Amino acid sequence: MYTVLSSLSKSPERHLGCRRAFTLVEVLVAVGVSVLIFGAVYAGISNCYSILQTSRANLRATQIMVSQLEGIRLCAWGSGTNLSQLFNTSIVPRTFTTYFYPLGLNGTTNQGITYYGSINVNQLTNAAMETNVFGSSIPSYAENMALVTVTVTWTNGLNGKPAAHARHMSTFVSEYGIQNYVIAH
Amino acid sequence: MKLSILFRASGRRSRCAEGMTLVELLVAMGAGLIVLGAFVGVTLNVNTMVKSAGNYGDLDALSRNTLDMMSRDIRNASAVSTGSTTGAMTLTNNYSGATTITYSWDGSNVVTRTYGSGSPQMVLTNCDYLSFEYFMRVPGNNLQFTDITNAFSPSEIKLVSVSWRCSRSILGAKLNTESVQTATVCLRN
Repeated sequence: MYTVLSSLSKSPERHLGCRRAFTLVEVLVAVGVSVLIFGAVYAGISNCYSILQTSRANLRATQIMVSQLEGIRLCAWGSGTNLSQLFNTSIVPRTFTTYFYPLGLNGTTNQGITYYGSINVNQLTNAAMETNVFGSSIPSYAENMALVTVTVTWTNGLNGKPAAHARHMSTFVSEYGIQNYVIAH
Repeated sequence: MKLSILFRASGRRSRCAEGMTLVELLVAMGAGLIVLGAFVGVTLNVNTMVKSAGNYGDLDALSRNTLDMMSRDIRNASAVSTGSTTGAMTLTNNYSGATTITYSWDGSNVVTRTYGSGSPQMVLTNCDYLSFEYFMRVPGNNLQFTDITNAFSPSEIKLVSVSWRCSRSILGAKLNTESVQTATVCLRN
């Protein structure tokens, strides 16, 4: 009985099953920790999602560049007024604009990201250009080649912040290439 | 004796056993609802993101594989023997034992590839849009080629443009799960 009295005098409330609530500081600390953890998890997954979107935009950019280069393969080299398609800026434009969704794929109202492209066709006609491409050993056929570079730039948001992206792809076109199906006009 | 001591020792006992007041209860419920709502919202959002990322990866792998295969077949082909905008396209390769390769879309879901007289192999699923376009070889202004999709002429086709979209729904919405593939491929022969 003395023991009981002694313990009661120390903490009678606990003995009777009456529990104290958390203090304000404890609650605030717990809430803060929870917010931190959830915030970190959410931000991490959200960031992954943004990267996924960026990779989609990248893939589409690659498709656009490959598509342009495929078209260039059908251009005649030529040197006359009516023969030169590759170096004709009306036929091979220096700039172009296209969209994430090709026409008809996602309706006409939402075409997605806008891609701004440029095409540079450089015939390897001078020593500096040839050296840039071939280094010190320049082949005799260097001037019969052209370096075609397609560049695509676009802007999209990563975590709500606009970010500029650019990709380029290069290929050589030869005057006497393997294509036997090109028809000049 | 013991009871009396207990009562004396725990003068606050009755206060401890009290319930919450209505105001306390309402405030607690409100706070609880806010926390629960935020938790559910975040969970649903995260769930959608994870699923869409998984779906996209899945669809993209199939689509890229198909695009590689189709590009190779078109490049190797000597002619497009039959074709429609959204139905099927048959390629002929005279340099490989006059083989024909047919790509066919069922109009809503599946794309198949048939090699020669073999049985159709499924190459794409969840495909809800597919389009073929056929062009002549002569380039016009702005690298545009003459579209002969509607006046189909096999011997004149030199460029094939293909686009498709595969998508799945997440919680009833086709949100960022689609995999769009487009390509313009030139017949090399």
